Amino acid sequence: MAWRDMRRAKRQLALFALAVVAGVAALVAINSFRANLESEMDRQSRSLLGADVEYDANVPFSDKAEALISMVPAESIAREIKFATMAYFPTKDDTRIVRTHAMEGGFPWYGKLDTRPAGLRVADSDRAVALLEDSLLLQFDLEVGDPIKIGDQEFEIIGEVLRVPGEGSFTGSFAPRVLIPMAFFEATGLSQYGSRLQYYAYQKFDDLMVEPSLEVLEGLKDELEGMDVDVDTVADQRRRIGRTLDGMNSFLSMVGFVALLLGGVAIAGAVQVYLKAKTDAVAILRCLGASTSQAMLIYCIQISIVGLLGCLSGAILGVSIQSFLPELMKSFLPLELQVEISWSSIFSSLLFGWLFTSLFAFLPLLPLRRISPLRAIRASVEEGGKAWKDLGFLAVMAALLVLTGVFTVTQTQTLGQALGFFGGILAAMLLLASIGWLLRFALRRMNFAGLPYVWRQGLSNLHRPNNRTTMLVVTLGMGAFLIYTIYISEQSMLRQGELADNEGQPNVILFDIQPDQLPGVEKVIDELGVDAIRPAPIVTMRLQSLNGETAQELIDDPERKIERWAAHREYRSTYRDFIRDDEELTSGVFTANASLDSGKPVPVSVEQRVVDALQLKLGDRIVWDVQGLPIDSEVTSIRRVDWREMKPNFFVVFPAGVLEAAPAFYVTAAHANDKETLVALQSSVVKQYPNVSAVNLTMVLESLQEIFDKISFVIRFMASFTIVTGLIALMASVITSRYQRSRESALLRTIGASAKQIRGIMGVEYALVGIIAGIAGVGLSLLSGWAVTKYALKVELFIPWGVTFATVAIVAAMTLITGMLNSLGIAKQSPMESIRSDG
Amino acid sequence: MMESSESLSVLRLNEVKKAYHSGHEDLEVLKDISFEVKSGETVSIIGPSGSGKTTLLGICAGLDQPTSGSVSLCGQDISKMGEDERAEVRNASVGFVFQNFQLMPTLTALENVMVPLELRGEKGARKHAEELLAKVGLKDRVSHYPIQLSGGEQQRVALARAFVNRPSILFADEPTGNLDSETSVPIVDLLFDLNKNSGTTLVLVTHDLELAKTTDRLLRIDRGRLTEVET
Repeated sequence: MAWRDMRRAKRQLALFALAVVAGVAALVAINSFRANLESEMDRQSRSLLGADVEYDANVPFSDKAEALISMVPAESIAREIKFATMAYFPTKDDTRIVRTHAMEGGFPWYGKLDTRPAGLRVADSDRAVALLEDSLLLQFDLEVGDPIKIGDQEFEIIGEVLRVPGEGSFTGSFAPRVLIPMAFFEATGLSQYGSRLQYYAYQKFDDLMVEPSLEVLEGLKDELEGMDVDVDTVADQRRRIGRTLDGMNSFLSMVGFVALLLGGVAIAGAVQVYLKAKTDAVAILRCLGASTSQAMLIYCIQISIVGLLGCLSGAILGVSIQSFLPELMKSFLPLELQVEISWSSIFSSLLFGWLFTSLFAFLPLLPLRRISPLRAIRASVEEGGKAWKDLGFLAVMAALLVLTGVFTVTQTQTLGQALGFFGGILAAMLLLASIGWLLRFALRRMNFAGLPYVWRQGLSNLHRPNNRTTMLVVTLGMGAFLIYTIYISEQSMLRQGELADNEGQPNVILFDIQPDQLPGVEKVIDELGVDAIRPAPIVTMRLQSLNGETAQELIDDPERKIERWAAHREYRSTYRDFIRDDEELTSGVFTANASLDSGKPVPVSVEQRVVDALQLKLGDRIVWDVQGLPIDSEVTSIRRVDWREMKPNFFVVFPAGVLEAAPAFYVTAAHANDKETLVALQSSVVKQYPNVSAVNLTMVLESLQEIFDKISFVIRFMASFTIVTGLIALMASVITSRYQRSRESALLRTIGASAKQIRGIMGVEYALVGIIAGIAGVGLSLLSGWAVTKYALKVELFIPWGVTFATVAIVAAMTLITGMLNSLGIAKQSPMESIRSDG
Repeated sequence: MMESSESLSVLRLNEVKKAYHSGHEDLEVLKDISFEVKSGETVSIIGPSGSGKTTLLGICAGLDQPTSGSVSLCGQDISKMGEDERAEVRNASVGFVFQNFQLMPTLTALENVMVPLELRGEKGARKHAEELLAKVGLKDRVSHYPIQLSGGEQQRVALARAFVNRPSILFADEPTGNLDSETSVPIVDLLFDLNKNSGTTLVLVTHDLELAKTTDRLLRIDRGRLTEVET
């Protein structure tokens, strides 16, 4: 009977199935990909680190640290120094900031250093050779055999490096990697003060001694970390990478889940309209003696079968999408991934998708139980009762909530995140639903007496019985919300540096200038006729105590909710006797000169961000550890700077007369009018002073843009599932309401409406739903964009208003077009239908 | 058939044929039908199920087009018109009452009655519709949706809607077909009452011979052929 009843509604049912497909496909793809990644990481866990243990510190290991390291039984040891510096390409007379790895020893022992040609190494070479990240060769059109100059030393390029164990190629997007032999590190001359070097040591344990070695290491770990040496084992690295990837995967699977959720909402709507047409059939069945449960069962079976078919197609689609994911996410993955079919993930995603959508479909099915057989003989018998009072309805709702909860927790793997996500999505959906409801409420009460009939009828259709207004606002709004949130977060981030492109703003920044190099650098700037700001000295320091509490005590104090970074960071402060024009003094008085000998604390000026992070106020006392020397200071003024200005900005400014004797280096920024001058400035400074970094800000912006493009592509790819589902939901609701629409329009035709009038009515209806959904979704995304930029990205929200309005227009246009395309033919419906008796 | 001046004729069919393709053969539903209805007349068309009653009604009212022959409705030849032009004629001059009421389920009783006037963009639709609903005894049910009304009430709304645009001719297709005899009597009385008061021409399709006999003329259709029955 279930099958027989289905025969005439194939098209409608196919749409329910379609609404499930995208959501399940996204889930299957992501979960299989995740399973793949997990098993691959387990299999290759040691190659994630390339060694059994890694030690790192930002100063050379002390003798004591070296002694401790040598106590850990190991088969071999390797060393590496990583630092950012300028590379100079003599054949191109061009420069770029790179991340240099000076290598020594057999590292990596596990996994492989992927190079082209294959099998190249630089670690123990006695020749000055270098391996360059493939993007670098491409950017500067370099070839094997060309020279590259790092500091004072020239190296010969012998090939490209494609992958370093434990690092995704993404790591090199900002500063591409250059691998050189450690033996030539000294010759670069970059080990002097001011360079930011990171020292690494790696150990490989004897295969039979792994456990005992780890035990010894465990015993020494605290002591090493007390000396600021970071100790990472394979397990630590596995956990860390796992966490990052899990975060990414949770996000993606949640996006997939939103698609499924929208699909569910769409299905509930579609089934509701489908069953409206079945009400009489149920009444007749009941008349013929079918029990409530028999009548229900017919439709339960139908919907479950159709849902299952949809889920199966979704799973098949998901598996094929999965094979694209490793390629798509290649840059973020620390290991090479082989695509394998993970039956358990496919099965669990399938089961979840099926249960979830079936439950959604059952919601509108429940009222069927209350259909009176009387309906078959008297059309006017009403189905009574509120859904909220129905135990069955409440049970299905509870099941849906529990299922969603379980799913969210298993996907995000932490309760807090799960709650945050679940709460966020629920809040967004409720908000959108209430906007839909408000719209109906407002339309019902508004008087459109002055408008033409077509407008009034179209507007009224939005609140009349059987309307799909709320459902459409929720599905379309949700899609717009997700995609636009991502877009504005990205734009706000990119906007940070956009000013560098502006007329007269610095587009090259020179840092790590040693005091004795300053006159020379200034001379180069002068000769090229480039505008530059006054070089600012930088003195590094750490926060020792604030009002008597040490940095650690501040962090541990639950009363003071200070931000961790501000207590622990290395402050790069400057000193001067003036306040810059572009700095805004918000409170206190800036002190231009002071002396250490006065016996009073040094008056300092602090920037608003640090004021917020450390919860400072005027008069607070801070002791700074200036390279071993404690300097007592008092906050006497608070400044605000525009961080988007590509000038050297400082959190803390000291008055002149205090820090002059401390070891310092200088930073300056300049504006070159054209690309040639810019390249000339970079290369002449770097050629003369290899330790000075001359960073082209335009290029930095481009790299940033590239990084964002990569991230946003992945996100947009997943978000497109949501949009597709939203459109399918729209199509489903339009097509399933076609039945009702065609009757209505045939009737309107009978009493004299033209095709144009009927199309007009539908056009008004869809356009308005689209506009409202667009405004609601985009509006919500502005809100979440604000939260994301303020709390996660810590940048100022930038709203491109033009694009914002265009997005609303696009959502409206898409809704209108989909609606009208699906309603084709309805307006042309023959009026004869209304007098044929079936009604 | 009858000779009469154009000005008095509201509906005139001349050798109207209607055929449908069914498989490999043509099925002729209406065969050479010619007749005329004068202004203010009430005419019944009777016939067994499947005789072509509804098809004939559809063609008379401009809902469908004949395969050949001509149809003149309110002085206009509608057999050559496109669907939108015919819709205009219907809106201006025709009223309908259906067996299954055919109210728009998404509109209230009052809104249903207002639609024909609103399609024309006529002012004062609400007031006129309210008056008519009061006339059919539904003053208190104006804001109810069709599903909240009984069958008899729904047909009253349909009657009010049929008369709201002051049609020259009203087509009623089995107006009591879905109602019990108790409810039918007042509906028929109301129909004739409204018809008389507004001087509308009435074409009634029914297989209720008793009802048919109450009209001025009686036409019988059988297997596609129309004959006039003497009453």
